Order: sequence, then C-alpha cells, then structure tokens
Amino acid sequence: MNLGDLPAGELRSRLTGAGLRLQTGPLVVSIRSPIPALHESLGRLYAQYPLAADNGFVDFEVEVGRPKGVRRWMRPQAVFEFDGHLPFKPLPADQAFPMLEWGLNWCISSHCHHYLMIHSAVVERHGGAMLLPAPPGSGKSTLCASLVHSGWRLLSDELALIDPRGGSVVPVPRPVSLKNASIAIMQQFAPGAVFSRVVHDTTKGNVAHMQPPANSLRRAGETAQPRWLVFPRYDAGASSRLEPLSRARALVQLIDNSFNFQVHGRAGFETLYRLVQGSACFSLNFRNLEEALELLDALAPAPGAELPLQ
Amino acid sequence: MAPAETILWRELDGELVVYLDEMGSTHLLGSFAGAILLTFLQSAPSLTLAELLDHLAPSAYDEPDGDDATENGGEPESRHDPAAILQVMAEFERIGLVRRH
Repeated sequence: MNLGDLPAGELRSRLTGAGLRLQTGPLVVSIRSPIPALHESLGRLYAQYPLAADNGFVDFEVEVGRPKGVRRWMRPQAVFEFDGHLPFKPLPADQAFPMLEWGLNWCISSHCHHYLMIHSAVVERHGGAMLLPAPPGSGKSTLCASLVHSGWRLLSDELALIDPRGGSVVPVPRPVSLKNASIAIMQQFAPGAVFSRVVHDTTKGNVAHMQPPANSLRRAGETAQPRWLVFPRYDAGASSRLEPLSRARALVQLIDNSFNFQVHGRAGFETLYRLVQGSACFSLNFRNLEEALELLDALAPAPGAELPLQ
Repeated sequence: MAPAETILWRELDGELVVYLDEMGSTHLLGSFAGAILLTFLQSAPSLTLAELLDHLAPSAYDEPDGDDATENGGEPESRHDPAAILQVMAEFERIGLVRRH
C-alpha cells in the first residue's frame, strides 16, 4: 500500500499520532508532525511511496514539531527532532517540509556508515549507474532532475550509497531538491511533474521539491553498478563540454566528495579505487540542460550499441 | 618516511593516488613523484638524497613523459636536477609522507 492510498484523514491521523512509516529505498522512516503545511507537501510528494509495516524495524524516528514557549504563538517555528535530540536550530514554520527533507538527509549521512556515502546525484540507464558528485551550487540536482525526466532512473539526487561489499549503488530515491532559478527551469522542462509549493527565503534561497518519477520508485530495490563518473559544473558563460578525466584525479575528487570516507579508511580507499577503475570518468561543464543531456545521453546508447568508454 | 604499512597506493593510468592511514589523507602524485615514492617503498626508508639519486637514475628520469608533478608541484626542469627531487621531497614532507632527519 502506498501513502496515496490512505483514506482521507488517515495521513493526518498517523502524522499526529504514532507516526507515518514510509519505505524510502532500503530505509524505513517514521515521521510525526502537527504542522499542516508539512502534511500537504508530504501527501503530495510521497503519494507513491510504500508504507512500511506498523510493527517492523524503523531506521529513523523523526518529528518536525513546534518549539515550546511563548514564541510559538508570535512567529510560528518548526523544529526537527531525531531520537530525542534537536540537531538544528528552529526554522520558520512554513519551512517545515524542507526541514524534514534536510533532516532526513542529515540522518542518513550521519548514521548509515555501513555504506560509503558520496555527495552525489546518481541516475541509471541500461543497468549502469552514473554518479554526478559535486558540491552545492554546481547544478547537480537540476541536472539530475532533468535526467530522470529524460529516460534515466533516479537513485538519488543527493547521496550515493555505495555498498562496500560489491561496489553497487543502493537507491534511496527521495524528492529532488530544487533551488531558486532551477525551480522554474524544471517546471518548464517537466510540466507534468509534481512539485511542492515554493518555500521562500530559506538559508538556501527559494526551495521546492520535485516528486521522483513513478518508475524510479517502483524500482527502488534495484541496485546498479557504477559505470560513469561525471563531475558536473554549471557555467552559463562557457560552452558545454564533456571531457575525459584521469581516473586518478577522479578518485581524489570522489574522496573529497565523500561524507564518511574517514570512517571506512583503507577499506573505503579500496572500494572507491575499484569504483573508479570500473568507470569511465569525465568532467562536465554545461550552460544549459539540453546540451548537457545530449552529451550524457551519448554515453549510454541503447542496448546492443557499443558503449563509449574513455 | 611514514611506516610503509600505513601507506596505501594505487596506480591509475600512470598516476599514483596515495592514502596515508595515520593522517586519513589522500594525495595525487604524478609519475616523477610516484617514482620517488616507490623508490622509498622498495628500498630502505631512510635514503639520503645521494642514494635516492642513484636509485632513480635509470628508471625515473631518463625519459621524461611530461606530466610529473605532485598535486601542488610543478614540472621539474630536469629530472637530473637534485633541486627537482628536493622540491618533491619538500611536498612529501608537507603532506606527512616523509620526515627530515
């Protein structure tokens, strides 16, 4: 049963009661919140996510609540609570849904150390995963959003979870985070996609989230082996180009973009070495999505055609 | 130099990536710097500069391939030039790969 199949009123009842249990890739999260704006965005963007069993294991129990004290009546705020702790400062209540998304990212990147985690979008086509590691502001999420509406499957727009045992990428497809100008660009690029309402004046500017395509959610249990490593950078003033990158440089950059490389140490080094060794590595400068997609699509031709490698 | 068992290195297309266990740091070495590191690892770890030059003589600097540099260093003008080796050694010292005795 998916969240969208819940009878009217049941979503609110669970969110304000024992908690709404959702399956997101390999993880189960239990969410509680009394804030209506969060209910609305959650119901819209997670409608196609499967509900987890009420009596099963939960990886993260989180709550986006209202802080205590007089202030709550003057300027309503939201606080993110995980395991009884408040890891972040309160935010205005209308930022409750982005706060939930940021908080869940934090939960995963701070606790899922059985994976090697890279700050990277990941998409898949014809069985091969493409990692797009990059720091914030590089256009990674916008590029990822356009790829998943152009025939690629979403594994994650933010976190590549690498299984150290076999080197595969474990999907954790969550709503794609869009900021500022990217929101309108994606609304124009994928007019049929489902978006949250725009939340203004956050620490990241204006933000909205885009629902992953249904196919990506249906296949959230299918891991993929890395085949391409592409380091993207949006540059409106330059021509779009995809250039081979030495594997040694790619390995160093991959490590630089890891959340928990230090936790894995030598084993992590070996895991990422093998990942790079088995991947074609590129740097991508792009000035618009159309040109970027043309360059990336050419890396993954239809089955039967020869795959271009470095 | 740092204990050999704390240095993990892998060669990828002629470049070396080195992981230093004790520091938890990773570094990219060009082929010249890589040759120096391998000389240390395969020979005595407390080589003098003269001994290092002897070890490097035939293998590392007879046929320049044009991409020698540590991640922050430049192309040595001549591989026979001890100054170029000293420059790499200074970089090794900075990243904690070797210590001066």
